Amino acid sequence: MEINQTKTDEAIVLHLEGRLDTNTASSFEEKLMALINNNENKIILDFSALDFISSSGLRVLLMAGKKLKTINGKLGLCALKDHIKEVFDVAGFTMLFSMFPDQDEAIKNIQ
Amino acid sequence: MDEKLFIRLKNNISEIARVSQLLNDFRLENNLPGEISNAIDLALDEILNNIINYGYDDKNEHEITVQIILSDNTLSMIIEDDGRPFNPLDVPEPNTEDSLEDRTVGGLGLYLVRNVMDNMQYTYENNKNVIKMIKNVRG
Repeated sequence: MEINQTKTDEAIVLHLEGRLDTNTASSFEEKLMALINNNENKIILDFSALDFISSSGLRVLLMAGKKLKTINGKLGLCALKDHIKEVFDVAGFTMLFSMFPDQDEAIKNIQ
Repeated sequence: MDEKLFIRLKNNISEIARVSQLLNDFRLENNLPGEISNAIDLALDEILNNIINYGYDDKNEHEITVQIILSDNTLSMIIEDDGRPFNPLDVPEPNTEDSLEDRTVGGLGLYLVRNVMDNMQYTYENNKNVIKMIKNVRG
C-alpha cells in the first residue's frame, strides 16, 4: 500500500492507495499513530485509491478514532469505493466515523 | 466445466500477498464479477490471518492449502490447516452497535467473512481444520 501525506492549513490528509490488509496494516498504524502522538488532531483519510480493506485495517481506524476522541481530535474518511463502504456497513463502522464524498467536503466539515 | 485453483502456502504472513495475487489472476482469467472476487479476497485475508497468527502452538513451518472451485452457480473455497482445532463458527459476533468508545475488534474478521460468504462450514478431519465456504455466483 502507498501512503501519501499532504498538509493543508486545516488538516493532515493521508491518501491511501492499494490494499489495507493484514500485511500493510502495521505500517499504516505506525504512520497514523505517529501523527496523532505528534498532536495532529485533524486527520483526513482519502480512500479514493484504496481497493481493499480487511478487519486488520478496520482495527487501526478504530484505534485512531478512539485516540483522537480523547484529545478532541477529528478523523474524517472520504471517497470510499462502494465495496469498501459495504465492509464498513457490515462491520457497523459507518456510524463510528465521519464520511464524506471527497477531500474538499471532508476538509470543509472537519473544522 | 469447473475451473480450479489450488494453492499451498506456508504459515508466514507474507504469503497472504502471494495468495491474493494468485486470486487476482484467477479472477481475471475467469472474468469473475467484482462482488464475488471481493468476497473471497476478504474471506481469504481474514481466515489466513487467523490461522497464521493464532492457529499454531509451535514456531515450526506448517502448510496451509486453499482450493477454489468455480462452477456454473457457485464458487467454493476450502481452506485446510494442521493447527490446533478451532471452529470459526463458535466465535461470538461482535456488537456492531456499540459506540466508538466501547467498540472492540475481537471477532470482527470472522463476522465479516460470515456476512460476505453465503455459506460457511467447519469440520475437523484427519488432524486438520477444514473450512468450506460457498459464494453463489449470480447472473
